Amino acid sequence: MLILVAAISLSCDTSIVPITGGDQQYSIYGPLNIAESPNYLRVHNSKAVLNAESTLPLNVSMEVTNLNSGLTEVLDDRLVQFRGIYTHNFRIDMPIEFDTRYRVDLEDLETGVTSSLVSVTTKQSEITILEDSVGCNTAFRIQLSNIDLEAGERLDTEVAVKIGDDWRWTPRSVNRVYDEAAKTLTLSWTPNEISSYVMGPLDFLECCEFTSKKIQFRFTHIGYVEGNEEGVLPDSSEFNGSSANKQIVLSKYSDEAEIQINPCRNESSPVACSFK
Amino acid sequence: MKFTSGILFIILFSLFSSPALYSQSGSILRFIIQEESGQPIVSANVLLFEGEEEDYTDYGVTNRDGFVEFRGLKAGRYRIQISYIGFKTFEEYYEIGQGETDIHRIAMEESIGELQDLEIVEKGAKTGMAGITRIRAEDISRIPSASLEGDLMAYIETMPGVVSTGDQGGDLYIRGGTPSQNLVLVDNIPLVKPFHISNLFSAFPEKAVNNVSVMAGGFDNSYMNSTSAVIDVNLKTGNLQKFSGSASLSPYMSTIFIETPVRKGLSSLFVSGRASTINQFSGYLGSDEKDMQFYDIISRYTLQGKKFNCSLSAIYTEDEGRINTSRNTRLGWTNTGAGIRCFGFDEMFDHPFEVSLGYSGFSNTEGSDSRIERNSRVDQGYLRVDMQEEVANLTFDYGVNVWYQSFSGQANELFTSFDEGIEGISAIIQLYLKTKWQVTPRLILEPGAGTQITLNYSSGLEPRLRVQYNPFNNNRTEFSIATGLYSQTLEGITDPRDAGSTFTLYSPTGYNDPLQKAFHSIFSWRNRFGRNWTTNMEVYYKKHTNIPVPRWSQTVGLETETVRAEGNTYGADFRLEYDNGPVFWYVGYGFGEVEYTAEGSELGRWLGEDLQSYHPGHDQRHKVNTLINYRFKGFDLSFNWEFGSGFPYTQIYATDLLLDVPYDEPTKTPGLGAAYYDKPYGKRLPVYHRLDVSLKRYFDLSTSVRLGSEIGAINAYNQDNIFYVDIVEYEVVNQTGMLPYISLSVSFN
Repeated sequence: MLILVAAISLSCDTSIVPITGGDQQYSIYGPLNIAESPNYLRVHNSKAVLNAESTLPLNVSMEVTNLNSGLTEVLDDRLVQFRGIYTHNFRIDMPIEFDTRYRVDLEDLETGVTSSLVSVTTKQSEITILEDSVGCNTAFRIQLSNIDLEAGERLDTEVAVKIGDDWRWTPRSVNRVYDEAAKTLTLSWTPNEISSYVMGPLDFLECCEFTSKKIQFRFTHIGYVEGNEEGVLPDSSEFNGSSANKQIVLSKYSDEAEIQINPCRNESSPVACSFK
Repeated sequence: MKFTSGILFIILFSLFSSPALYSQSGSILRFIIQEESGQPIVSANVLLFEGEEEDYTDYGVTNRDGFVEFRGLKAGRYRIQISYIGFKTFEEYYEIGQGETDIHRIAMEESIGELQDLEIVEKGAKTGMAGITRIRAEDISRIPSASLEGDLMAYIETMPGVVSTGDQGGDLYIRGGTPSQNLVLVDNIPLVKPFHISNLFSAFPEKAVNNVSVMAGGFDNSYMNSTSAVIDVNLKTGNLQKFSGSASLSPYMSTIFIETPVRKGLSSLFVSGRASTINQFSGYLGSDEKDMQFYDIISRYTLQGKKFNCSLSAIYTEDEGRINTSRNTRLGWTNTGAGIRCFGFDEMFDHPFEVSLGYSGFSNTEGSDSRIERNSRVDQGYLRVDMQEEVANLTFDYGVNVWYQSFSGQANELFTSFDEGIEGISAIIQLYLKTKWQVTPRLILEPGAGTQITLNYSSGLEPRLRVQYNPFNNNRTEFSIATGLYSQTLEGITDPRDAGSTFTLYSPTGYNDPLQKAFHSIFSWRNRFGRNWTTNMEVYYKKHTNIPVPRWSQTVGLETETVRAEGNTYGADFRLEYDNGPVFWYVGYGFGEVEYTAEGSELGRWLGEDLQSYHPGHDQRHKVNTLINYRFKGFDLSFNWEFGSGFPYTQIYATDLLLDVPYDEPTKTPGLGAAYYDKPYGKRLPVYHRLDVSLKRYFDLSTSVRLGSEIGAINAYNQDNIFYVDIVEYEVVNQTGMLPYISLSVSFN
């Protein structure tokens, strides 16, 4: 029996491969922040198990080309370790400009397989306040120019009111009117709508109880990836929307404005109040 | 229509209770016990002779209460001869009058070192009856188990056809069935999971057990509400004559055992307590760090009257720990049970009867170190009556079991079908009827039928049949067949994709859900060669329907949708035993294949294709066990080697570190780790093999004090056996490495 045991012990391979083989696929994530430099693109090998040993090597080269100017930059990899897992972040030193197409090229140096995407940055949008100094139940209106939602751009907007010492922010995606021909987006809210959203129905405050007569507004204007608006590769589409290797590189540009309100303006509000 | 089978049974019950059916012939009923301790002798061979005749007229085998009976006797003089290995043959004459029932308790005297040459080998003895393995406490003691006394779990794991997917978790898969499809009975108390988190131990130490029947399938109608297997444990009777006890310590377990007569010769009590010491000792002796603790307490009070045996049994077990010590998933479970069981005979009933009444509770939890995130609880109460009647020279066993189950639990979004949690009760009435018909001296048929009825549904009729055939009219060669239909109302829902957690959510079958059902078919061949060799081969097929399984999804997430699958299992088990007293050698080989199937996309989809079948994680194709036990000069040397082919596992198809673009900064944010499954169970782990060795010796320090010592090792050559691939922690988790141990015990009487 001991001979049998020894023979089996020596002959058996006890290693396993926890992840399937096949071609390497890579996720690419990164913001192209128009206001900042440098920017970083995260590249993850989707065939790497999430541990230090497996995530440390990454045999790829990355380039970014400004397709408007033709300028190309070869990117350096900056390793950052989070909780034992290595992440590969490729540094872009060239400034990111408005209304520009950037091609991101990845090459697997082992197989020679390449993949690329084109990220389009937004035009600079301008804020026009169409109506302010409104009362609690009257909508103020803001218009943003150079918004091309049809192409795949996104616009994330937030407003804040001051209650006590704090500015209370809330995302607002309703009450948006998009003019496709003019490429403008008009947004409107009433101060009380914001209060209701921020405080909830039980702790609702009339806008005259705000501690500031100003409403803060900010937005992030986000570009898009050409031909792949959701950043999902075609061969990953069977994952019920949870792609195994996403490639999302989006530009962003943020700005903000202040809107004056007039809480004591006489409206049909049943509450007569004076601003505190 | 769904209650038709129940009504049929009630009519049959009424018929059996009719006095007109009572037999008026004479009967001999005997309870066979050990003289020294009062312990019932199970499976003793009893021959009945008429007067001075040399050929016996009838034979019998004692049941789990040491009871045997002979019926239909005309008035006259009879001789009874009782033989059992290790005891002096008992012989005595009795005079039976017309219609007289003669009841006696017989105490057999031990005969140390003497083996009897038995003329009758028990019908359906240890390996003989299709699907059934009977285990005595002595069998359990042969297996090395990291403690001086043996443990039932260590024995069961050596059986072909029994699979435990690792060395932790306490889950047993028997011939393709899942743990929740097994029924565990302890003196008729149903327990959900009386197995410890370390698979080296169950709640049943050798000293607390009289005998165990492991029924891997094909069991008769007296066992209902299980679609796969039954483990029927009979606790021992405490010593009726004298006070005795023992205590032991090993790096993995400390034990204490006390037994005492309460009224000498009439009633007794034993208490067994064990607690793990793994956490305290792990890290020493070269073993891996462990995080698991458990204990169990078992007690039984026994009262032996002239015409009855009654027992009050109680059990409590508790387990807590982590299967993967690098993962913050803490598991825990408890079993609580208490029950009264009386077996007896009284002239007013004409036949023996058994009444059982009791309660059991089970809860299991999963959470982190700081809080419990999921829990599931099952409380069960039962009242069971088993009786016998004789009709047309056939003895019928019949019974009724009223079974109440209460369920509660919260899965905390683990299973989408139970988002609201579980609160429910289920009251079941089980009825059964079976008989044994000796068609010819070579052929015995045991047909039976049963049903389970609740307010919501009936299981329908569950016909079952067992057949024994002795082709040469001797007891050396026997063929047996077992087949039948099975159903169960209890559902255990788990996510088998995550072997790092054994959390199971228990629920009754829903009003609109189909009952889990099964069809079993087993063919068995058993043969004895010479005085020392026994071989047994079984081929089997099981078909399970409506098994709750998780619907496959590519993403590793919290929420799992439960769907219904069909399971087909087939296989063959082979056993060979050599026993000449000092040398015992056993080799077992099991082959099996388990496949789950479902129509359409019920099981899930992968890359655009319907998943219509897969082999689940407990589909082990080959398993070999060999045990050598050698007793010499007071030493007891054991080797147990197990080899198993690899279990299926699911590879990861891809991983990711998801960033929220454009808001997350790559150099400042790690991202959300994600993994995507490949097709289910598409790969197999490497083969598994392990050698356990032990050397035992007892020393008599005085006439009443005995010192026991054992040295040994589990996984003696420190094989790196892979337990599972943890897709949550993205790591390969190994089973336990070498566990060397030294155990000491002291016993007194």
